[in-house]
Amino acid sequence: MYTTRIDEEHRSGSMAEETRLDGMTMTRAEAVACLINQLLDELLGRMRRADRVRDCLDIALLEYAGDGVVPLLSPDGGFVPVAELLRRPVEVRPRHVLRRLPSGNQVAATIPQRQWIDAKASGNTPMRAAFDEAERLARRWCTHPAHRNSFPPIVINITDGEASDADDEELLAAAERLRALSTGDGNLLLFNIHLASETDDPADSLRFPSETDRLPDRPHARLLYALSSTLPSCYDEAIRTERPEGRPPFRAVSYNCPINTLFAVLTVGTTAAIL
Amino acid sequence: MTASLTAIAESLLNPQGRFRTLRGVVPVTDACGVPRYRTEQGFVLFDLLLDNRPVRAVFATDDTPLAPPPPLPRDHPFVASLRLLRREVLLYPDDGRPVRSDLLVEELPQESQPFGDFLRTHLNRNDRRPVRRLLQQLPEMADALADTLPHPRIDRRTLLVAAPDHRPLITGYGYLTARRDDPPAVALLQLALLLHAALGAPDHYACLKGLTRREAPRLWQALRLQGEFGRTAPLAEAAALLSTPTPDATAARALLADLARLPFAPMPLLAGLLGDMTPGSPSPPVPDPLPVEDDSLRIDFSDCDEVCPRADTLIRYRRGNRWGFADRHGRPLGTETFLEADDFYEGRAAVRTASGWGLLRRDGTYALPPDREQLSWHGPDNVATASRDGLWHLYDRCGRQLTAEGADWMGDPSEGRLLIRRGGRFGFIGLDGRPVTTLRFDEAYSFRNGRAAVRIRGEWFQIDPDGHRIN
Repeated sequence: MYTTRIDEEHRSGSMAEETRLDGMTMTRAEAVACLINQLLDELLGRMRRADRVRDCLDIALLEYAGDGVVPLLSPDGGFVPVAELLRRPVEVRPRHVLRRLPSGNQVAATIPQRQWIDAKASGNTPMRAAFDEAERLARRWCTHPAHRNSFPPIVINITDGEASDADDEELLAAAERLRALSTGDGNLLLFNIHLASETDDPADSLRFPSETDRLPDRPHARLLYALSSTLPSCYDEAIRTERPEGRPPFRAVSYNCPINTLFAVLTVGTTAAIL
Repeated sequence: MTASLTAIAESLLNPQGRFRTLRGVVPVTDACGVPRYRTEQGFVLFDLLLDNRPVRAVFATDDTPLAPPPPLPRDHPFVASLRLLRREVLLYPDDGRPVRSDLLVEELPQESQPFGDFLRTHLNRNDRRPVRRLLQQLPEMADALADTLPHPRIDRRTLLVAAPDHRPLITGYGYLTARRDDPPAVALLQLALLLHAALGAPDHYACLKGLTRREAPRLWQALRLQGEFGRTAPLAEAAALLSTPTPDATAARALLADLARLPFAPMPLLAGLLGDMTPGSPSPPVPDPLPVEDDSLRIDFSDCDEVCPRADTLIRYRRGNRWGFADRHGRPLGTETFLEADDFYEGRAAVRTASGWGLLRRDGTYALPPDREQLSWHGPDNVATASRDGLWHLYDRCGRQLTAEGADWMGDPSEGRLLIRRGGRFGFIGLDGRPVTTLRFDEAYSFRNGRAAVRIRGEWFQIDPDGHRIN
């Protein structure tokens, strides 16, 4: 079967800071949770056909919690196939947004949103522990005979801070072990997304850079760049839609990513695998 | 930027100030208030009420623009009314900046049922009147479609039956299922066979198989294979009839009359549409691969004889009798063109050259070289079936052969199983090519809803996906 795996990991104490998403004020943790719920809805929705479900995704979510990570979709931390997620009874809560119409009026809109995960903002950013756990899950998935020729796993790391459990060298080694995993269709793809805070300089933001782009003069930006995969050509068109001036190959990293563009970045990271 | 499903749902649930011309928009929702929809490759279809009338709204989910519907009269008796509304609805994509989106609105008749549901609820061994009425209307449909324009492939998913007179109505016209101009008789043949399979063998309704999105002339091949069994002479005649360049409505009606006498039509063997069966002409030598950056060799789609909707980010186009692929900017996928080509799906496409069928990758190289007599790429299952020297094998997406032994015939994957035949006996294999059952059945149908009908000597029974008999 043709199957892709998606991991998403994030959360830290600074995620309790406030931000605005779609006109509403909330914590960054709430905003990220909202966008991940939206992404899951998008992915699962696109798998639903008239007479069947395209069961071609296995999904796992890990949350930074304390000194380690905890699974969010499955108690044993394993992957959950699309078909099983679609069968799950999930709470639906109204999500409120503010929109400005062309007439100039501002209106409130309500959308029912499935709550796959809840917002939490706690603890540090044990990124090495997260990479190690992702490696354990991905290795088991890649070595399964049914996945040997599948699109390789996609790991998306969402963070607003630096790693709290490893120095740069240890982190680079952990990421390298993760990126070395592969299927017959290619190597695991590691995306790193760093969320911007209110005080970050927008001029220092970076989204899917290519080798010729100038990196911000920030050690953390350069580290995230080095941790991330070089993207195969199937991503080029989607990224060029976001960055028409970009030239491939692109790197799977977004630094100082504003919250209102996080969904677009996540969509680029995942849809190339399913379209 | 294309809008997400959530952005579309938001505008449908909060329509005030967002629609340019439509009024009274109310989405059909589930018990949790989530709008009801389904997706296809590149599209999403939402069920709505417009002033209490049931409609289906179609949005593009990739960059492919919605195509305007063919110019049929609005109240055409057999085709659901379809309107393309440009820049109709305001959407707020991920970054919150509003964009206007096109929208296709399909008017559905009240109290209509999908064709499959109609058969399930109305098919009765003792009372076939509703289905007979449908059959009587088929010649009228043949006339109507023959007189008009390129028509869609009729698929049980795109056919509604409208009460109270059980009139068949084609939905999804032109924008979802139309990939080529097919002779009307072919589509009607498929529809007739669907009905006959249910009418002639109601116990085998479970074997009705949704028509696949094939565009190679598989139907002709399947009919020819059926002819070899010697028990479907009318079908063999149909194959000869349909291989003529211009089958007409009169011939289609005569064909339908012959088909009405068939005891059954084994649906697993019927896949795809009859394409252009002109004999293969000598093809030019294949030049070296084209450098992608050479702008002078970009494809001008307005100059092509046929341009298909984008699939898997590539556009299939035809110039004369040659097919090729290019991206949306016209950059061609190499310089090789093909006698026949299917759309890309999950990164692979079946193509035919003068030397045979092959499985093409998105980079223009072959996962399976073009030396096969027949080949089908089953994207949702990520396997290909192909024959060489009359022997069929199963292959994975990288071109690796999965079956140890070949088969005389191999069906399409269905629910994770493939029906095969060797030495006159049928059996099932899995998507990994390994046998699920021995070749012990005299006759068998593909899996449907977790069951397959099989026969050993005179006894019909059903088996589960592991090959165990179901009591």
